[in-house]
Amino acid sequence: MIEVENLVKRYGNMTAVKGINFRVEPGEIVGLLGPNGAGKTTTMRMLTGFMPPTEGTIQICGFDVVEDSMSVRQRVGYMPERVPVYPDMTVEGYVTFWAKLRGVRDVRARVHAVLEQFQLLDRRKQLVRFLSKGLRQRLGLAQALVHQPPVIILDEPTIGIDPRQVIEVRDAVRSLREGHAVLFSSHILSEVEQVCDRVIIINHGQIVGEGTPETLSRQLAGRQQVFVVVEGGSDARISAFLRKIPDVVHVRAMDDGFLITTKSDVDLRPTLSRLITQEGFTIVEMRAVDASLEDVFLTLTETKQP
Amino acid sequence: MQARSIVITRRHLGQLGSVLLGLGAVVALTAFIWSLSFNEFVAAGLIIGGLGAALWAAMTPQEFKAFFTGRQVQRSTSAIFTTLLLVAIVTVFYIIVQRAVIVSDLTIDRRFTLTEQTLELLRVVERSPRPLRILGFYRPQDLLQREIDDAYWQLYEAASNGAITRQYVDPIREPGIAAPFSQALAANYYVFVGFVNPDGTLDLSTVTPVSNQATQERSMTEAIARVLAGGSFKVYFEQGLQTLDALSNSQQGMSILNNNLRANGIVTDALRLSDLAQAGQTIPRDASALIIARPQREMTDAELAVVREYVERGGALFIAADFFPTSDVFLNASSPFNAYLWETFGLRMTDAVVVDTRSPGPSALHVVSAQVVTENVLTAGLNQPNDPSTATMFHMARAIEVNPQPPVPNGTVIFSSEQSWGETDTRAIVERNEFIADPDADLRGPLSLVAFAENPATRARIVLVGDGEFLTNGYTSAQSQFYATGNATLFMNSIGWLTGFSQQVTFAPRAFMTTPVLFSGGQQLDVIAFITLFLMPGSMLAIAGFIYWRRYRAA
Amino acid sequence: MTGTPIIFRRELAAYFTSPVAYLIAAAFLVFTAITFNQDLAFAITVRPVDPALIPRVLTQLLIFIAPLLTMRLLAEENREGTLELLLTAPVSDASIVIGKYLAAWVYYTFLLALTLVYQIILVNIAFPDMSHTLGAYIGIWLYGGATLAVGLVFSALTESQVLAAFLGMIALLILYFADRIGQIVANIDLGLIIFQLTLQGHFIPTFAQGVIRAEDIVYYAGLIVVMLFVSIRLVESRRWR
Repeated sequence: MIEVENLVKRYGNMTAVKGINFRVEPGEIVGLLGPNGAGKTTTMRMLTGFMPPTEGTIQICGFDVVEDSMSVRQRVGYMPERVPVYPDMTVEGYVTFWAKLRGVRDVRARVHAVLEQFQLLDRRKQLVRFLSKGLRQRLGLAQALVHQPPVIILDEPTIGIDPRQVIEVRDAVRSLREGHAVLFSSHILSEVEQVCDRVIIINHGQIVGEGTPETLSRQLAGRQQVFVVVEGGSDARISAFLRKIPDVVHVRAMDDGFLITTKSDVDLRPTLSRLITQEGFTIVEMRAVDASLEDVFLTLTETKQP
Repeated sequence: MQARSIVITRRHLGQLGSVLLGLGAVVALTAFIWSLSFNEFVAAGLIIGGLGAALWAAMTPQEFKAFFTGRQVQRSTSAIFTTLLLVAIVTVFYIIVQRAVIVSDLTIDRRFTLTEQTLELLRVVERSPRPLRILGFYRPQDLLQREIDDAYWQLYEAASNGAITRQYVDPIREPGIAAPFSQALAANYYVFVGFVNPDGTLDLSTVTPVSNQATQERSMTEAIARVLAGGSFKVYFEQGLQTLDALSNSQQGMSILNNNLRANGIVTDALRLSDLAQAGQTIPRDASALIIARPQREMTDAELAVVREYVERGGALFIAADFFPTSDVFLNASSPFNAYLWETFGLRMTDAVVVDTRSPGPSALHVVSAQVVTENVLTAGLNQPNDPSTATMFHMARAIEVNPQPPVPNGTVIFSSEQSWGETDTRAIVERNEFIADPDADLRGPLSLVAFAENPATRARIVLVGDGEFLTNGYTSAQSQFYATGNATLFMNSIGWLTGFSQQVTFAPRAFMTTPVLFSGGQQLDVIAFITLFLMPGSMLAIAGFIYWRRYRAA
Repeated sequence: MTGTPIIFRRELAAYFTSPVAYLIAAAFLVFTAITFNQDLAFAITVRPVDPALIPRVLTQLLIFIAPLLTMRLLAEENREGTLELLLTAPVSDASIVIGKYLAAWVYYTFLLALTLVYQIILVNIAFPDMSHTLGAYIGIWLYGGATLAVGLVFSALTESQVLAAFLGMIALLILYFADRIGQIVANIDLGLIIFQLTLQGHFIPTFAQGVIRAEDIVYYAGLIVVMLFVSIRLVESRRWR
């Protein structure tokens, strides 16, 4: 369904995507995981034909994105980040517009169907501007699905909505598995785990990990993060000291303190506290933090980044 | 960082190169289309384009290659290049169309369509061995006017197949060209037409001004006709009867009207009837008209014979005879010439001085043309509504008697008012400045002041005016206190008719079909104002409010 | 070009369901009505009303109205992000721009049609030169099309509607002045070339006088084509910027 080969995107002298390869098959939900600025959005924009790749090829349903852009666009349902809408259109009008623009045959029936599918039927006469964020998200999905595309690309579909709505959207995405190839991006690990069959992790424009959520979890297991607030010295001195501690992989200044990522699977807190006190610093605060994806990436990419 | 900034520079240079290539191509193509030859502008454009291409290729070779091999995706360079290319295509197309002069006249009066009369004249121009040129003086701030006028003039150029060309000059930038026209420019003439010399300069002796009026076709066509007729009409001023000096620019001279004739392309010359009579000669064959302006003595029989001979072969006379308190006054009631005019044209001069108490002139003896017989070629432009200066003004004018049963068609041109009379007691006027209406002795108004007659058989024509002073510079100069433009108009109209000049150069006035707004009462105006100012914008506001309420508030 | 009619209909509906568009229409009518009533009061029994009166006023009014009509078209799409969806829909960039442009032009045509009321009034109280008026209306219709195309360029250029309108007005003001060129440029030949580039220079000497000259139509059509082309390129530039 989606075949990406050696995809490169350069903006001027900045390379946003550095030669990535992946495939997505029908009936598969693939999560594109990565921190902000990793190249997720750029990749997706190239997949949808919004921008052409600098190098490499993308084939969607066998059509090349550059050569056969129109065929590709007809077969892709796309929901960009933060769901762009026309605030002064009605819900129905909005979906109808996209249906017509994408050449849907029986517009009325299809619009009715997707509105029903995303429980927007009773709000079809409402202006889009009065919809809540969660409803807008559903509207974005309805828009992306109205022309029954075999390939669905969703850019951060759960960003900026409240937890209950997140669940709704996740359910909706999960329901799309049937017959569609779904690629969706996120920077939240747990979300990807719940929804996807397969996860591709990218960072700095490169694929740094790929596999089922289970294998990734295993890879990521044994990482720990500790947040400490230390007093008694300059930030630079403290930071340098912390880096020298064995098993500490990464130190980053955050808020008033430091976020320490460790390699070992044992709790490093006692060791840390001892060493810091020995050095003559005072610990004001120390707590374990759930490993955030961003920091996981740092460990995954440790060897590749100088 | 160093390396990066250099790369950007290269890219920018490449972009600059592509822009230069586009600009060069535009310049070269435009210049080529404009002149349809390979001139320096074309060369310059090609060189700039070539340099641009070289720069582009040198600085960003991949982009350059990609642009021409076509596989390249959209890039700023190609976007700018294609835009310039499009601009060039549009420009070229514009220039081609501009040269084709395709005009469609939508005015109901066909104001931008040359009439058959003009087209006929332009066919004459086309056959003429010398081309004509329209010369317009426009300052930079008159560009808009120039474009409006040009819309007319280009019709002439197109219709004459280029026999008439246009030239526009900025009088400030090229004072040398403007210098010979300074007087006319000061009088608000700014367009001229004349023959072109073989060396490409304008033949100044043939140049005639184009009057500055709204009906431009008429002014231009008449001006062209005047140029074409230039030299073919010659009028003679009689200068032997103590007449007005046609060359004198004093108050009592008539140089202004003489110059007017010349400016219209009529050749003027002088003759003396006494010399002709003495030498046994006749009035020259090329005379289109003879002007006898304010003679101060009676003609001798020999002189009369010369005039008779001229009239009998179809000559044209313009006679302006003043009143003088002398015994041998020209055309006195009993003179042989007066009798001759009566028998030939049914017109004769009386010895009564017209007194018009209703005349708005400085005195009752200053007769301002009260009534003008319906518009004809002689009275055109006289007594215009709203412009009192277009009336004629005579001083101590003599009444003319018009035979109601004339031997040839004749008629009156200008009457005095009902309240006027012809004072027969001229001694009282001259000696005591006294004039009292005496119903028994005096002639009753209205009286003829100007009359005309034409013999259809011989084509002899006459215009007889009971005043001579009105021709003097004192009455025709704009600086004069008695200035009346009607005087010059009457004179020019008369000569135009007598010589047949105006028949050749006059453009039939066109009737315009549009009408002013009819006054329909203040109430109707109020209704219109209400509908347009309140109802219509108000309904738009109401719709805006309704939509706002329905869509944004109710939800 | 299959997308053009769909985009056109959406944009047109957006105009006719927007209160702002009707406010613009109201302002448009007030300005033209003031001129009309003033001229009528002067003209009564004295002279015929200038057949090109309303179009003449519009040459100035459009400098301010046209950018207001077009400012939303692409700038809003750009800011809201809907442009990304449009550019990934199976329609060409050109059909998006053209569809939007045509909608603006049709809305302007609607505004222009409203001013025909003045002509209807005139027919009832005088004998005006209707064909002359028709010519002037054709001219101002094209003129309006050209100003809208210029406005569209600036809507494509920026995400801010206010900035788009402001830049559009400045550009149109520069393009507009023809009768003042002589006061700026001393060289009359250069002045004439600039004159031929101005909007006014192709309207006042011809359309307003009741004459249709092919070169003027080419000028306005050419301006529209070039401006649309630039707009399309600018929209396209979203793909590689």
